Amino acid sequence: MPMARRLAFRWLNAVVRSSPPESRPWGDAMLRELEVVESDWGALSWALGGTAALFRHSVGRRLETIGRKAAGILSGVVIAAAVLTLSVRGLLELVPLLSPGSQLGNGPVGWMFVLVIPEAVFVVTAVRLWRSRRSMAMGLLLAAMALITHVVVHVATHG
Amino acid sequence: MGPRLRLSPQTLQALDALLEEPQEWTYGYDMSRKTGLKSGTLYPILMRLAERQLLETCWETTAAGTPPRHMYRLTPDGRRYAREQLRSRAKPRAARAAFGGAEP
Repeated sequence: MPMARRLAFRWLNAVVRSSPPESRPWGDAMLRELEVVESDWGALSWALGGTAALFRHSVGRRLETIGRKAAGILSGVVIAAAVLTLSVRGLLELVPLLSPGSQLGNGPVGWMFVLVIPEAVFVVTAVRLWRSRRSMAMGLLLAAMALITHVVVHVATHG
Repeated sequence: MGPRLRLSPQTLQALDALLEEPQEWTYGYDMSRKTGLKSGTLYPILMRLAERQLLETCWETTAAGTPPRHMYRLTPDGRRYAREQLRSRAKPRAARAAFGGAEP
């Protein structure tokens, strides 16, 4: 076997073996075709083209997975923000109606609406979603951690 | 069907080649020779077509000792899609020619 063809075969074979499983059948397909390419330099060109095709396929798949995860996390954070907004809105609307004279600021009712209820919702929802929608659950937990951190920093700086 | 397929001139060339004998299976290298597309261009197109269920793929059954080759042909959906796309691309070209416009 001439050197160019041997090199093409070895190169493409190594690329196929190191490809992710979902790209491998396509790599094997290109490897089989390599045997029928007429010219030796053509075989080398085929192998290099095949490398580019496999690389694009596997990178595309990885980006797709990363994009899906990022979208899940983002939707978790958006849901958390909506829950927090609703809870704070509830605090502002309900408390003056239920107990007209009460202070909203740092009192127990305020903490309940701003911290305890949203945190409980985030954690319970995240636990329930952990198996089916892990990235969304991670987004919720991320929001829960951000809220706690914000409250700790707020208490530490404002007393 | 999955997300929309990007219809580059190379994709149209591949669809055209696959439509030549739509019922027959074809090999990657034969398509490459027919269309002039290199493996680095042709295979991503085949992969995208297969992902969108427009292309069927199968491994050739061969006599013992001969390594099988991967074969391709358009699915019924793929044939319909390819015909529509090629026809819609051909229409403006025909209109330009009829009105004396230059080909791009």
